[in-house]
This record gives sequence, structure tokens and C-alpha cells, in this order.
Amino acid sequence: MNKFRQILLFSSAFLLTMILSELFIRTSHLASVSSKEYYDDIGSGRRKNLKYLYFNEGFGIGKFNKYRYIGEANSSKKSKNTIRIALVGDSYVESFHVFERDYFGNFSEKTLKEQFPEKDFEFLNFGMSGFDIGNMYAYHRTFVDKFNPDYILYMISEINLVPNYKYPLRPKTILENDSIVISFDFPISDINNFKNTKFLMQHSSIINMINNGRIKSKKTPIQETLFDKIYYWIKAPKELSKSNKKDVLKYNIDPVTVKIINTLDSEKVIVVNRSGSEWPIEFHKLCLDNGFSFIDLSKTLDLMKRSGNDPNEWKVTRKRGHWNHAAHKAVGEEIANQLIKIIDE
Amino acid sequence: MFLGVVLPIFYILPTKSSKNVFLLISSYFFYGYWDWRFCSLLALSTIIDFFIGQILFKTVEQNKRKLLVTISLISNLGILGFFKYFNFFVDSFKDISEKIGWNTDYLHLNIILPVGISFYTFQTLSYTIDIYRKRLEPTNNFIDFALFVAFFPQLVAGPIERAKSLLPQLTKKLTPTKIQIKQGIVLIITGLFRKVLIGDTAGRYVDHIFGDLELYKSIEVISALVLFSIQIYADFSGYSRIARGTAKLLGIELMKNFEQPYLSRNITEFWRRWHISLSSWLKDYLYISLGGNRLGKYRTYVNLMITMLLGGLWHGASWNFVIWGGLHGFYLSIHKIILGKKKLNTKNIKKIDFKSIANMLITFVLVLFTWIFFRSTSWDTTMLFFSKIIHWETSEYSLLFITIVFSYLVLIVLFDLFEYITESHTYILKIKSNAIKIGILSAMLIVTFIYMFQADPLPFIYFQF
Repeated sequence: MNKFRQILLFSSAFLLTMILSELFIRTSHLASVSSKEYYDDIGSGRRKNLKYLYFNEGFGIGKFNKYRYIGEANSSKKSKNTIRIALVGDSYVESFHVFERDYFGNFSEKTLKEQFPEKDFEFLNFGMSGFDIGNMYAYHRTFVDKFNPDYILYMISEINLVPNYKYPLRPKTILENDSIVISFDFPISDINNFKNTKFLMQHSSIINMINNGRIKSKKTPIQETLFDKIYYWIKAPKELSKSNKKDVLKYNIDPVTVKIINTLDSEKVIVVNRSGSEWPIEFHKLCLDNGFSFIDLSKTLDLMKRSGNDPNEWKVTRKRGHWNHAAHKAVGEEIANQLIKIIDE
Repeated sequence: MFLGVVLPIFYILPTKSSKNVFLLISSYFFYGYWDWRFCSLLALSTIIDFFIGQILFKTVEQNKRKLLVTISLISNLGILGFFKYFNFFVDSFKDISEKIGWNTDYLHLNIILPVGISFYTFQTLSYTIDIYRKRLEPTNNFIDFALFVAFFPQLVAGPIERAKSLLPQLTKKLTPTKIQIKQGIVLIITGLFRKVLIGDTAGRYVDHIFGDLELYKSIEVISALVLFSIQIYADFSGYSRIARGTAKLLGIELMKNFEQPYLSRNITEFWRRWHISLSSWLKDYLYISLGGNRLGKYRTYVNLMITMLLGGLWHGASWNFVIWGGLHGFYLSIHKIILGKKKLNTKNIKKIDFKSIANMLITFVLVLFTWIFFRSTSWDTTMLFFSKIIHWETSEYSLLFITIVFSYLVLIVLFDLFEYITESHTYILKIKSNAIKIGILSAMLIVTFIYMFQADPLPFIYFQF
């Protein structure tokens, strides 16, 4: 009886401390709950009406609106006077590393409004971390189109050009009999896994932290976290890679990517090179052949770097990563300037 | 991890000397882990003060005694001055010299500041000064003395221990008692919780906002300041707890460094509760050496100002720290004028009334104001901070920031209130049921480890001093 009482007291004290810690973690936003949700129409997406605070190389605050994308909630309806621009891309577009007010889309919106005061402009941010061109296309067709954008900006870098389908719960774009098909064929085990853990991940920041730790341990060896410098003293240096020569063979564009570009509406879609270097010439040519308008950010970003303002450098955290504040501003203004030309035309 | 290796070996070792030798080697390993080259500086300070202490004690002639203590002061402060302040004075002199037409750029050196140098310099200095003042007899055991200087739990960020209190403990065989082990565990866990879950996480907001003030709105900037006041307290008091807890596990008692400073009712009380080991060191070895309050009213104020200005400079080679110290000196002088001959009661009050709460709030706001100078890395940042407050900009995240600040304040005040009421840092041990104690502590430890494992670590703020 006494043993049972001890276990009961221990469990109660443990649970109460955990609950109080959870309360503190949630109100102080030192960690967040999972922002992921599973939807039948788009697969894995962001949770509705969820405010997020994000720390990594930068510090960002924003909100997923009731329509499941970042920013002000604009429904499918829009006024005649409004030009709506949808941004599709990966984490660079999603812009978790800056406050919503400092993301490039807002700078573009502001510049365009100044240029065309009689018009109203709306930038809708459909960026999603880890998106490749296949995911972007699937998202565009199944979700973005519902919001009736006048222009869709595909913000792509070389690493997005090959569909790799890293995330099993995102719709795939595949080729079937030489035509493009969006597949919602998700592995049942992954759906069940998501559904089983969803409640805890969405309601407990502590559980979500454990999950983050699990993901981190895949990238960083646990020994490194535990032993720090000693780990490197003991660990034998890895063999240097045999060849550092860059592959200069002809770039082969993935057939799915070719088909996506051939299928997209060049009147509506604008292809943006969001990286700091030029695209493979073959991809550039493919876009030209299909009559797409281009926005090339590589020159703007490269110029920043050359002038000593590395667009990917974060001074506070001393990390390199996504665009910093200065880069967001420069990118936003460049996109707006290019759009002014396109709209004028 | 380090403690996990040191403790079992320490407990197995049979004799006093083997334990002390092992702790000394461990302490040098711990220090050398950052940069092994700085071990030589630590050893140099130790050798100088050990031998000066020996000779000083045997010397009767006053002039020779003065000479010996001066050698100790010059050599210790010389090393500290060179590594910490050389570039500061060169750069400060640069503006003036440029006006005269001298180029002093070549004088600027690439110096790395050895971690903890300000702490162990003050600690060894107290040894020679106490022998000079005939308040302490030197030790003849070099190992004991070297361990007193390099004792790893408090080597890099204090508490700055006095030889009088730490050395006698090292002359006996170190055997922790049961209660010391219990207290040690509680202090380490609660210290980690404070450092990691409160200090580090508040620090993320602070670093980002102060790192680029231009980007943020007025309320966000003010929130960062309040969060900094929490960060620095949680981080440093967390470290001090871990240091004290670790020492207890080795059978050693270190002094308390913090006693709920943000519950102080006036600025004098604040300095008796904040970084106690430094403030009492400054009082005993600087303020009193300058004459303290023995040379009349005005000289007392001057002495207070000098002490606090130098106390500010101790934190770092920057005019911002000097201003921070100067402001505290000014506050203390004003408070001394208000107090007159009245004796100050800084004991914990039994009944917290409205007047006490109001006084606590006023003191907190006064201290908060000084943190602006302490946290700003440059004068431009300080000015920008004030400009952000004067030219008020509303933020779309006002409520969010207020909630965040409030949650941190509530937690830190709650912890402090428990300590204040129970007058103990290990109040958890006052709970009768062991099951409840273990339940609370294990949950705190698990949450801390979970956070640590998935986040980027932040160094202790006071390591830089």
C-alpha cells in the first residue's frame, strides 16, 4: 500500500511539473507545437489559424491563415481592381526566418502599390519547406489555383529542379503514358503514423521537442552532441573525397520537370531563379522555348555578396542559411521592378 | 559528461592528497578544454601568489610587505589588464592621437580573452591582500593553493571565493555528507533549468532584437530589454547554482552568489543580493581600501562612484560597462544621501505589503534602465534603443510580446518567491515526501534535457567576463 502511495505521489508530482513546464513553454513560445496537418485535398500542409514563432538562423513570427497559407487571409474572391500574385516555392518563399512584415513579398507589394496607385496588389505566400518542382506543380494545380491568381511565381533554384519526393505525404507529380498526373497515392503506414501521433504533436510542445531532437539526431551524430570536442579528437578524420572535380557533363533535365514546364501556362506563370547562381543552361533554354517570362535574382544576390553583404549570412547567430533581412528587401524590390515591366508589357 | 567522469574517480580515491591532486588535474583539463594555452596564465598567477604569500607572511618590515603586495597586484592586474583592456585603451586613445596626427593602428593587437581571467585574478588577489592585512595565514601546500585558484566548478564564472573560506576546506579530506549530496543534486538540476530553459530561451529573443534593433518596433525592443534582465539573472544565477551544487558533491561549500535580487526594495539591497561574491569583493578590497565611509560624506560618495565605475569596467572593456557601473554608483550615492544615518534592513520581510511591492518595482525599473547600457554592444545601439522608445512605433505583435515577457517574469518571480519565503535555494528538500521531490526534480531534468538536445547551445554570459 505504501509503495503504491509512493508511486502515486511520484507520478502526480512528475505530471504536474510537466504540465506546468508545458504551460510555460507554450506561453513563452520557447518551443512550438507541430504546425503540420494532413488534408485529403493537399496531403501534408500547414495548420489553419496557427501563429508561429521560429528560431534558427533568424527569428520569425507569422501566422497560417484559415486558408492554410501564410499571411493575410485572402479568399478565392477578389475585386476587379486587384492583381493577385501567388508565390510558390520552398522554405525561401515560406520565409520563416523573418517577421511576416519583413518578408520579400511585402516589399514587392509595397513597391508595386507605389508604382500603380490605382491598382491593388495581393501577394499570397504558398511556400513550403522542402518543396521541389514536382511538389510545387501539384500544390499549384490542387490548391493555389483555387485562389484565382493573376500570376504565379515559381521560385526555383537548381536543387528544386529534380523531383525527389522526400516527404511521403505530399502529392507527387508523375508521368503516365507521357502525360502528367498528380498522384495522391500516399503510403498508408505514413498516413496512420501521422494520425496516431498527431494529437500529441499538435498539443504538446514537449512531445514536439522530442520529435525535433529525433530529427536532429539523424543529421548530427548523438556522440557529437554528448561529447562535443572529444568526439572529434577520438573520431578518425574522414577520407577526403577522391575527386573534387565538378561534373561538367551535359545537364539532363528530369523528364517530369520537362513535362511540367511544357504544361504550365506561360501567360500566367513566371519563372524565378531564386538562387545566387545561374540555372543550368538547358533548363533556361527549356523555359525560353516555352515562352516564359523570367525573373533572375542571381545577379541581385551575387551583387550583394560581392559588395560584402552576403545575402545568406546571419550575423546574430553566425550561421549561413536562408535570405537575411537585407536579402529579403533586395529580392522583394527586384521582383517588383521586374513585375512592373511584365505588367506594363 | 565531465562531472560524470570526475565524480566516480574522486569518490574512489582514498586520501586527501590524491583527491586534491586529481581535482587539480581535472580543473586544468576543464580550463584547457577551451584553450590549453591559457593554462600557463593560470599557473603563472598561482605560482606568483603562492610564493609572495609565503614571503609576505614571514616579512615583518612594512615597506617590504608593501612592495610584495604591490608585486602581486601589478603582476595579476597586469596580466588581466593586458588581455582584457589593452585594446580598449589603445582604441580609446586612437581618437585623441588621430587628432594630433599620430597613427596608433599598429598598437591594436589580436588578443583572445582567456575565459574566467577576471574571476580567478580577483580570487588569488584576495589571498595576498588578506595575508598582507594579517587576516590570513598562507598555506604551505602548493597543491591545495593551486586547487584553490583553479577549482573547476567556480573557475570560469565564480563565485569569487575567499581563501579564508575555501582554503581551509581543501586542507581536509574531502568527503561530502548525505545532505550535501542531496543539496548538490537539487542545485544542479534547478540551476540547469534556470540556465537552459529560462536564460537561454529568453536570450534568443534578446540576441536577435539587440543584434539588429533597427528592424524592431518599440514594444519589441522594450520586451527584449526586460527579457535581457531575466536572461542575465537566470543564466548567471543558474551557473552559480550548478557551481555550488557541483562543489557540494565534492564536499565543498561555496558562497551564495544571488539572493533574489529582483525582490530588493532599494538599490543598496540589490547590490547585497546581486553577484554577491563580486560586490562583497569590491567592498572589502576596493571601497574599504579607498577609505570607505571613514573619510566624510563627500569622500564616501566619491569612493562609491570609483568602486562602481571599476566594477563596471571589470565586466568588460567597453565604455558601456563603465556607464552601467557609473549609474549604479550614482544610484547608491543618492540612496546613501536619502538614508542618512538610518541603518538599512536588507533581511527578507515576513509580510509583503503594497509599499514593499512598489519599492521592488521601482528598484527593478531603475536596474532595468542600467541594463540598456550593459546589453548594448556600442554607443550607437544605446542611442538607437532610446530613439526607438522616443519615436514610438506600434507593433502588430504587441500582445504576443507582452504575453512572452509576462510568462518569463511570472516563472522567475515564482522561483524567487519560494526561495525568499523559505530562505533557501534548496527549498524542494523541505518537502517531506521523497516521492514528490524526486517527481519534481526528474521532470525538471527531463524537460531541460529535451530542450538541450534539440536546440543550439548558448554559452554562459559571464564566461566572457
